Amino acid sequence: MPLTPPDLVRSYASPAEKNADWQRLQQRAGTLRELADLARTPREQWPADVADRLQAATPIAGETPVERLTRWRSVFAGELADLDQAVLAASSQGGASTVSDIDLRSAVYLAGRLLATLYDVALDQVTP
Amino acid sequence: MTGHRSWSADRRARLADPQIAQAAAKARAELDRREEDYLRTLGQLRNARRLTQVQLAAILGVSQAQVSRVENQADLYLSTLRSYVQAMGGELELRAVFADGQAAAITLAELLDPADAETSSASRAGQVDVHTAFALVHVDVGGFDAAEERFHAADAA
Repeated sequence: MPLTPPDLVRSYASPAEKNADWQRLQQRAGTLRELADLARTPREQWPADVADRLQAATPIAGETPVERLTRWRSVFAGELADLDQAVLAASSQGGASTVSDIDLRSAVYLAGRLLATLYDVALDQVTP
Repeated sequence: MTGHRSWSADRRARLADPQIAQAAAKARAELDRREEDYLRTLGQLRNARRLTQVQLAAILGVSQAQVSRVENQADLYLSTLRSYVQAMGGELELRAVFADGQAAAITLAELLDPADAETSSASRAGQVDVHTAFALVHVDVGGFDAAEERFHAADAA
């Protein structure tokens, strides 16, 4: 599946565009945090949409959604922690205004890649 | 092992005794009642801090549904509970209290999975320079292809 890196050095055209990406980053970071927590939660307690998406994402026969999510959390533990830390640091120290354009684009991109890898979809299919 | 009865067989035999079964049912009911108290307490604690689930979710960076799940979950991870309390501006303390009056504080950090402690977001918010934090993100972006390969390699294995 194509995962062409976007132009991360491109400046935002307006504060509104940057703010929209900041909101997207916060949403993605929240989703990633929830998913990491779900890796330690019995599958019966998973939200139905997450269970369905992981069921659809499982590419190898025999691997359960629980195993896939657990493995994803383990392989990307460092990335998840770094992203979480960056978003929380920015959130507590002034929000989007404290983050450079390239930093924000990179973080949104990383969060998207993490979700795309877990769900086994293309980067442009990751929502939000 | 001759002469020994399995734990489950022993339990069945004990519960066959009406008095013991009644006592067990009473104990179960008491546990259920305490669990209800516990569930109420988390929500009450948040209300006492004058926070809505939506506000707490924004602080934690999770959805309101996730906060609701935490408040309604019967068995929480300590790391989750700690983050929840820290998001309300408090610190979670743990004490072991015994019937003979002895009590001891338990060091929470030693109980938590190091990975959990590492990602215990609320505790680290504001403690790391933004530029340093995002520099690590850049490193991760640069190495993501390799990390993804590891993920798929495990897939194949």
